[in-house]
Amino acid sequence: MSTFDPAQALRIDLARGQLSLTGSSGGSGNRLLVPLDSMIDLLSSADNDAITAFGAGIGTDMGRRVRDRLGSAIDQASVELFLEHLGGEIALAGLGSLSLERWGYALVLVLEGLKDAASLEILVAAMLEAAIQRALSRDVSVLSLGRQADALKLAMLGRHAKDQVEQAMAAGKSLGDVLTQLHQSTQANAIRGES
Amino acid sequence: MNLQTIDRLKGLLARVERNASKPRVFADVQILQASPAQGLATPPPAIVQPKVTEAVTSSSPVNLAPDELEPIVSVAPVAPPVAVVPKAPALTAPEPKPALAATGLNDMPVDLSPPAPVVEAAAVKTPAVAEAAELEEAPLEDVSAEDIGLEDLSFEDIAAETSGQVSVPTQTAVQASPAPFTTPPSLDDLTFSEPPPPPVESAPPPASTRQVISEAPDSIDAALIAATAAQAESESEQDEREAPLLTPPPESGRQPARPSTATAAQEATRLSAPTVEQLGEVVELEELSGPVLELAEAAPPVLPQEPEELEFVPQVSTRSPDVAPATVSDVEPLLPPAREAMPTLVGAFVDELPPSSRELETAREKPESAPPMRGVAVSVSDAFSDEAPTSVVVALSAETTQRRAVATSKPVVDVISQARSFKPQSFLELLDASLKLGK
Repeated sequence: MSTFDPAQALRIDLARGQLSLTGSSGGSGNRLLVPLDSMIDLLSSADNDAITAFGAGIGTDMGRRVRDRLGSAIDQASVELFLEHLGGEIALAGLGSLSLERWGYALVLVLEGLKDAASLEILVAAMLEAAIQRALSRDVSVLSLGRQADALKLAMLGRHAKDQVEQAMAAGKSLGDVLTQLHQSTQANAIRGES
Repeated sequence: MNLQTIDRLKGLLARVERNASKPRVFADVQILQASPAQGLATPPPAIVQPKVTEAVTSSSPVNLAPDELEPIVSVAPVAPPVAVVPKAPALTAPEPKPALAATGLNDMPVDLSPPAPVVEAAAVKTPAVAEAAELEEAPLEDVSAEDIGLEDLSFEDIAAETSGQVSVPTQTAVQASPAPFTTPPSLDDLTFSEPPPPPVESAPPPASTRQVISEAPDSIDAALIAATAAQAESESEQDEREAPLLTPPPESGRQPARPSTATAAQEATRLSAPTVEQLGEVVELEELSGPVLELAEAAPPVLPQEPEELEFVPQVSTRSPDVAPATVSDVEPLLPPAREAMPTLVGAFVDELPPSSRELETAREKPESAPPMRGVAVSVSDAFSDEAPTSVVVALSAETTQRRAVATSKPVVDVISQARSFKPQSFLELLDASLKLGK
């Protein structure tokens, strides 16, 4: 498995006045370089489904490129390798630096450097869900756990678990207590299912 | 026993062996009387003329030559002739007991002062008997005549006493008594081993040598019993009269008489009881009526302290100028405060102390196994003094505080390990585990 190599990933054709990303599918792979604040203003005026659809389109392209690079061994790709490729794609898009946290069985992605904007959070969450879906063929429900300093934490959960955590955190529980309760309910269900 | 006696005994033994095969004969005793005219100064030798008689048990008489007969007993002073015929009964035993006769003569005090009779008892019956008798002759040589105070006694009394004393030897020695005097030996045959005894003093003999005069017993047993009783009585009487002798020589003369117990008690009472003059007037003292005197314990004596040998570079100037210069003993109490104030003093460490200071500090504080100490040269100055600061070499001692030992029975290390059962090998595995949460 190769590591992420960003060389020659972005090509700017000054003569034609075009910006293209290497390995991108769908058309010529041309990109538009727009100001972030204008983008945020645009997203702020759009509804969540539009933002989610917009973000899912970006994420699907990212997942396809990671899968293209990793190939058939993407299922056995380590956490670090997959994180490297996925994080590389997000970095090329200018959406921040990606890292990973593991809380027991729970997978939490941390995105630093992302401008604090709710439309951006919705955009990134939809982007990640689509990227994982495209790369690994798993339906993931991304739950924003909030920001801590400059980092946005996003938990990769199932749909049912996402609903439980949202209810507990809405009740004022901390992330630790919520994740502990989530693990206890998961073990109880597993024992009940085995019996 | 001197050599002369031994030679005589040897000769006697040879003669006895020579005459052993000859028939036995008995020699009678001739008792001679000393002449009172001869006196004690030049006593003629006593003549004991053994008389060869026909043996009672012998069948044939044997005539012994005069030279073969040797006098057994001789007494030098010759008293007026008194023939003492022993009244002893005839003995059935053929052989006399010369030992008894000689012993009796030895222990018998014989008063040779005139007109004391001289009693001679000897028997030479057979060569064997003569041998035995001569064996007992040697002690007779040591016999010294002593006065037993018989001056006032009559002849009959003396005869009675002597008869009792010589009864036993006469009984044993003389078998055929009275026997006729047959062949008196000549004076040339008589032998004297010692010169005649010195003149007898008029002093009474010591009690240890006194003999009790008693009646002649009828038998040997009676004589022994009587002699024993007389000896016991004499001893008891002697004990009453004389003080005990610590180391009593047999003939050491008279001993100081022990005062009677009654007299001694009276004397002790007289000495112990004070007289009226000694006592004087007795004044009765009143009993003690007052507060009890309590004496406090005396303070320990303050011994003068000799100046110790401390080496100071100059003299300490911590005193005021008008005070006399401090001596070493005055400086000594100032050392501890000086140590406490050492950080504020100007000083410099030195590697080695002067020998005398080091020895002093070693004797005072440092244990034997302690490491060598370093010294500090301290300049001590008085703020109120104009004198230049002086330097004092003060030894430093380390003050060590040991940590208290920790005694616990519980383990010191307690590690709480966290079981990490889940360690995903791939991102997909981690994702799947996370997606299963809440299902």
